[in-house]
Amino acid sequence: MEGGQARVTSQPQTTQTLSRAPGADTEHLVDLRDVCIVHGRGDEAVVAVEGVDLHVRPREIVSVVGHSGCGKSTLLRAIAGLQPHASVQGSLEIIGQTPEEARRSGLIGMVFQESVLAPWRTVAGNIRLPQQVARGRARKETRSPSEMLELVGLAGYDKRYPKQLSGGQRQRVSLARALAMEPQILLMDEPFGALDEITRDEMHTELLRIWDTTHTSIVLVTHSIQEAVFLSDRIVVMAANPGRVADLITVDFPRPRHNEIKDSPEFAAIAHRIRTSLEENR
Amino acid sequence: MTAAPAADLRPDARVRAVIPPAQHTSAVFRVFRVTRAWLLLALAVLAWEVAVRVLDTPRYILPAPSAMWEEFVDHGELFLNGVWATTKMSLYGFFFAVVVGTALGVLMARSALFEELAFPFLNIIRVMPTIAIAPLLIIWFGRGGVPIVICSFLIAVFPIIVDVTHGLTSVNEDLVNVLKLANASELSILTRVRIPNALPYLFSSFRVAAPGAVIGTLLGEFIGSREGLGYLITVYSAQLNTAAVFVLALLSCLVGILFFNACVLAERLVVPWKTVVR
Repeated sequence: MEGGQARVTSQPQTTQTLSRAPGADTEHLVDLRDVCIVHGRGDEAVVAVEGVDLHVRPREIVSVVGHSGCGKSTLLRAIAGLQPHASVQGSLEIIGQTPEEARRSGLIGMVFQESVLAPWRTVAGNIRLPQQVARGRARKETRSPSEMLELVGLAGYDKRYPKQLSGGQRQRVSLARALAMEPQILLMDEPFGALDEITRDEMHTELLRIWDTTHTSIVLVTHSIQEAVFLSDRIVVMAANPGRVADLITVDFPRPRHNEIKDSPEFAAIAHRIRTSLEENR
Repeated sequence: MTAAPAADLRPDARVRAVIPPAQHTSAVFRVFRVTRAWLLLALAVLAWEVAVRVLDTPRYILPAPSAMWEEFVDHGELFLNGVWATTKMSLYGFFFAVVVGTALGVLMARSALFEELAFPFLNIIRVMPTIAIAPLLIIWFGRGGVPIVICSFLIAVFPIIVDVTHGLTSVNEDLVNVLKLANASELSILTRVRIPNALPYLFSSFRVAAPGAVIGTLLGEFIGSREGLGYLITVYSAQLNTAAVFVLALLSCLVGILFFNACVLAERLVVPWKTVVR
């Protein structure tokens, strides 16, 4: 699939294209081949995702964009091993394991559109929650809440309650909770969808800064074309009915990236290509 | 974020004036503001007293508040014993309602089969007026505390079942997913997420169930008992002692309010993070 697609490179920085992990091309953290996901059973069965291939290399950010209902969230849940086993067909490999095994090994972290913090726990208590319930292989050395809060720019907020935080701050805590488990793969399901645009821009650079200090790869589902282009190494454009890959775009802006690139013509060109392929595949 | 302190406007500030603070800060006004609802109530009682005296209403139809007070002073010990008996029975009824209601609520939330099978039974018992069952209970269990506690239990238990079920099932599934990503057991998901999530619902159901337990007790005492406020009401109304009936009705209110407020207080202490508005 990848080979068949034209490669959009953001000139003039082709020569500077970073290859952070040498030999990474052969090594996939996430390796989905011909994945189909069906909701419901019998006559009411609906094909949510059909024949999707997706690869994520170490330390890569891959975005999945598409219309509502194109199965991108379902796909993310399948990668997380949260989708009922019988509904998923095809080959899904997460670091050489099934998604279910990878989840049980605590290799996957997840951030949702809503911060889903427990209102009865303090910020520190929320970050500690997954560590407290972790069993088996998922039980491992983790990072302390105060360390994580410092990383996400909320140092000293340990004893606050989620109610006392703004939407952006809550999402930072949610990110801290996911990263405290030191996951190999961070799945983000429209993580900034509920935030206002100013906060969202701020969170983009923040996410990149935080991600830079970890060893995590990110798979990001989003509605925002801007967000996808700014954050990603590669963008998977999905079409609906049934959910399938419509386009695969490589984004070669060097890292670290700053908000100025959002105003560059290369940025606009990639955004345009995504928009076009979304419109063609309605 | 950067609200300028109103008191010391910078000399270069564009703001020339701020709205002055509210004026009515005298001690008398503040006392009035806090107590005005009670003052209105006192006024109403006074109007009642005056109206009864002026119109010379027969005592058995509408007694004056002062006549009620006399009744209370005359029969104080008897009435307070009634209050205690009713409170005790309501506490028993409420206690069993909490235990059984929580257990059934958990079962309904955890097992779709149980919910399906239990639903018709529970619904029939719920819809059946307790006042229709009460005579039956007396035939079966005699004129003791048992039928009274059962009446109290029957009224209190249903809100608890409904809210416990709702509280356990209304958990945000993504929060559960966060725990599943750490390979959490079902037990830790229950204790760390489902139960804390259900607590506000549980306490909100108490606010309905506890006064309900008092009403159930009064009803049971009404039908067949030798003590309690409900029993005393039947005795004094048979004697056409309207003033005493009024006093007993007010004391019943008092017990109900006591139960309600105890629940609100417990809710504030146990689940300070959330109040379920219903």
